[in-house]
Amino acid sequence: MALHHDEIVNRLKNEFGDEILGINVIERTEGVLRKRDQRSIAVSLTRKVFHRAVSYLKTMGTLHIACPMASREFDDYLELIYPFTLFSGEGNFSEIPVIVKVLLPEDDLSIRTVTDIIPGILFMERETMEMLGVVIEDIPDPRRLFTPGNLPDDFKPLRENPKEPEDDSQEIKY
Amino acid sequence: MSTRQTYPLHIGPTHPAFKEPVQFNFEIEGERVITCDIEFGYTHRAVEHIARERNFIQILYLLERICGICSVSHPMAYCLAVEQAAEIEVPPRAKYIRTIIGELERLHSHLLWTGVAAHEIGFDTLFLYTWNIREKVLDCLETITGNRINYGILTIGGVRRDITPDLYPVLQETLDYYYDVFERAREIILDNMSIQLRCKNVGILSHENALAYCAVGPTARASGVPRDVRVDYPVNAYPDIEWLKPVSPLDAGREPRGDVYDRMIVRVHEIHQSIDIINFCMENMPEGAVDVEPKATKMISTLKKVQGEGIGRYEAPRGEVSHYDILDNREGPLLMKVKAPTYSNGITWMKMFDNVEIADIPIVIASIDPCVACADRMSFVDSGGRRSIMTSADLHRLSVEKQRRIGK
Repeated sequence: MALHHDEIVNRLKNEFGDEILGINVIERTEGVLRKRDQRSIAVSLTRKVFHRAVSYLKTMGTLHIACPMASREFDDYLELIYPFTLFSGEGNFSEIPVIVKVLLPEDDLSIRTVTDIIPGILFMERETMEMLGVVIEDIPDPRRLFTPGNLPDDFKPLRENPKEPEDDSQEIKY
Repeated sequence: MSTRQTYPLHIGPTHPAFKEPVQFNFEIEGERVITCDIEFGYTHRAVEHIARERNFIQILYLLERICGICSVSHPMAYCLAVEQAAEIEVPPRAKYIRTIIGELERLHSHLLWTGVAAHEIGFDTLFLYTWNIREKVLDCLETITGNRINYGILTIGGVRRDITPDLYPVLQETLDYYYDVFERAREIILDNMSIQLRCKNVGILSHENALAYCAVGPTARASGVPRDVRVDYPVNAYPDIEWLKPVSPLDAGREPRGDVYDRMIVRVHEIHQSIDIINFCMENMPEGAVDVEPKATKMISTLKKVQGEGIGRYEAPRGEVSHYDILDNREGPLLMKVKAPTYSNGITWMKMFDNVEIADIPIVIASIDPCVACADRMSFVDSGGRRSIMTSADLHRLSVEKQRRIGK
């Protein structure tokens, strides 16, 4: 049974308290003949409780990952954005996207894997490692997903200003 | 000491059984697959990186080219994400036109897949039959949008072209045609003994694995997971359709097992569902404008003032397409993240191949409907510059004439 969006927000606040840095509900009306409101929840939380929060979300209902992790870069931080959804497959407008955002310091770009909670996120975590340079701790398969094996390890293609490889003698072949 | 002996079998990245380059590494015991590993990246085109250099409107045409068959699905998810971030309300008529084009795309995609699946098990008569009846919907799309694929009809805040009343008879004729042929096609596809022998109990994805590995689209629904964005998180005209529900193998009287045959049932029944949805949209088509801003430059300057984030989700023929966009006072998005259905379903291959025989590898790969290229049409230009298009009757006549010449 799908929970009301306010109930999800309250449960998260009660469970994680000050570890939640921000939470808001985005509303939008869809339909022409039959108007229905849709909501999505955006929650920003600390890295310390991230794994436990994903595990807690799964206790509320079917947890699904809708999209690979997006990112946003600030001066000293990288914001990693996990677009989860709750109650997928329960029909009748019940699905609620829950966008979980975590700030990672630039000098320690690492976060714990959640493949133990959602095995289907594995490819997305592999892509995050190779494209953004975020270290996914305890990931069961750390291999690259898309980039060729001879791409230098310190070249992260989807960073805003990717650093040039230190070893420029290595030729990048396509 | 174990007497079990296995050997590696590498298929790909290019192989006649595949329509796209991807590498499969199998460990085989006798004739059976023990483990499977997949390597992607052979067609990675850095679309998300290229998008950073393009404005909001240019990106639409880049996204149409992620996949030729799903060429309305990616722009749809992108438009929905940007419209959510910028709080743009799409006119009702545009919502209905978007739904019609999306369902026409689903119709031709499922027919195409059925033909590919038949080809993979050596049933080429069915392959030619389904691709032949698919021509009707491609002709309809060409009449409405100007193209068989890459329709160029979506824009942020609506659609670029109206479906005017003089086009209704074309749509109606297409719907009538598919209502007429559906039962016969369903019977040929689903009741055929060869298909049942090759597809039942092959490439099973259990209900538990479909949920755990986040399967989407017909692949999930065939495993008994009623996941369909059109019902769970609907947009466009879908909230208006009260009778809409995810298709299940139960609709054909079969308990979901998650095998290749169940995926076939779901896609075949979704063909009928798509015809019904288009019919609903035609009967209830609202009047009014089809976009909020026809001038691209004005739309770009409006979006340039926006700071925000949006997620766009759409049920493509193969499953959920998702886009996450961040707008930050630029002429294009600061960041665009894309997910195609094969990205989600690709990981489920590893579970489907458990204990599959080597001969069934092609049909199991095809069963999640990875992308395939669209067929060309033949056209000629004579020395006077006049262009003529060969119809199927012309091609048949030429074929007969050639056979007679060869036979002499």
